[in-house]
Amino acid sequence: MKGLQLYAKKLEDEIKSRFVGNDEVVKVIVLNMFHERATTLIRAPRGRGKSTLMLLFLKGIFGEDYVVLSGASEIKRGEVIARLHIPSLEREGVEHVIWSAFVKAKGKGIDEANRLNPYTASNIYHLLQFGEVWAYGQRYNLGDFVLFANENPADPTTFIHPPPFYDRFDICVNLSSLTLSDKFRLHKLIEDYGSLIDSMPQVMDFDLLSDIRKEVKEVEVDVDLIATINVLVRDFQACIRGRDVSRVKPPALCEGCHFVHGVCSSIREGPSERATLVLHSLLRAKAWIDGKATEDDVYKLAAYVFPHRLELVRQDRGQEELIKLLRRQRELNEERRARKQWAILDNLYRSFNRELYKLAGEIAVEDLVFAEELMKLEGGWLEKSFLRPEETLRARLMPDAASS
Amino acid sequence: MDPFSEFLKRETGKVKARKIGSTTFIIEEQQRDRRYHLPTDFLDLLLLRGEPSEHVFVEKGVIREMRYRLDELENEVKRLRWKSRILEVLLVASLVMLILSFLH
Repeated sequence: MKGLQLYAKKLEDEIKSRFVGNDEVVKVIVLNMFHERATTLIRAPRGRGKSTLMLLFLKGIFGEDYVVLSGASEIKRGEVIARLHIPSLEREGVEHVIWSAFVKAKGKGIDEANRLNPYTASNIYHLLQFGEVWAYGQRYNLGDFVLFANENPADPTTFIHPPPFYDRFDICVNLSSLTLSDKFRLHKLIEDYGSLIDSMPQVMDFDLLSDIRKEVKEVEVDVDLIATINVLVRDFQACIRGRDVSRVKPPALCEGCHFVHGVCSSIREGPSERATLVLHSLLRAKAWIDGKATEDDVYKLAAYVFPHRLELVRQDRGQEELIKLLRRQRELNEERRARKQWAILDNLYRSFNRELYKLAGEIAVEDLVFAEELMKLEGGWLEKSFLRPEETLRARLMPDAASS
Repeated sequence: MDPFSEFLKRETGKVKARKIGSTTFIIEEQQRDRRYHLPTDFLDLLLLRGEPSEHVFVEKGVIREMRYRLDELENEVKRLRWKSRILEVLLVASLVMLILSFLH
């Protein structure tokens, strides 16, 4: 392991030695630190260590130089964004804006984000979206930062934030409760360290983290892995009936649809393109720190990238349902390879071949993502009169759309 | 080359194919069984000789697809039957000609 990787490993080890029972979560958060404007959402019921984990990371990277806001609903704008310097206003009539410590700090934390009132949440949303804040007609550019937020969605004082707010968080981790042996371990740790947070050393500083981020940015991810990410996200997004713009959502939307048994019928709202970008960043970090990233990592990491970006039909089943869908997608991908469908598509991209097209059509009726690509090609073939409109896949799968 | 084309090209590179005449054959590797079973097993059952689960539900679209395939097959059968009739006639005619040529 090389120089900067050692710091990353040390950060992970120091946190794991203080935070019991969620080793994989710690590893994923460490990976998420290594791209610009990293944002992490920690979700758990009360008393699972959400704030502790957030503070351990902030302390490990920033020492004491970080700011944590408490998401109480009565939090003031001056504490979150900025306030006016009253003496300047009174004496000289000049609006001198004093930016809040939260805005200026490189290490930011929001405790109980679910309690933020909608007004404060929209200020933070703008901060996450554009990397800047506005107050009294003035703008402050934040540059790079690290932001942690935690929330207990079951908290009765919760505000329901809109999906785009959550989409701005790169990953969402759920903390599990401690097993019996973990409870003994925690007891011992508290005895040894006293305060877990106070005992956490500063492992790196922000300049060092920026150097790591620069190195990670240079890492190239294999095209096969990029394809796995893109296919996975597209599988979760695609809907032949235009779910995104339809007022009716699955399962009602899927009635009579050819792809009713596909993964699309299990998803009410699909992920945004940010899911692709975040997965790519995480894989880069994984390759940088471990020397390699595999297809297995894509599916493992997706379990942290999707939960706050998706609305599943069986949302009541929680994380288990997402894991089930990811497992199913993995098997579907294996079937795609077995069918050699991408090789068939490649050949069709190069030139039209009726026999191959027939075979591709048979595959497409089982695979919506493949069908979409094939239908794109059909447009060109229709213009060149290689195909008649009634022969197309579009006419078979979407007879109404094709006739219109 | 754009990344999507690069990906497709790479996938093509992984496929072992053999060309005999004008037909290309894909050389398949041993495949493991599917672990995930769904009512859409119907197509696997029909096309891949897969084992069905206890109950097989068939979705409307699959039936439409099957009808389409059956129509195609029936058309193919008609075409082949027509060809075979012609060949039969030709064969009988050539046999008659052969017998006549022997008699002469």
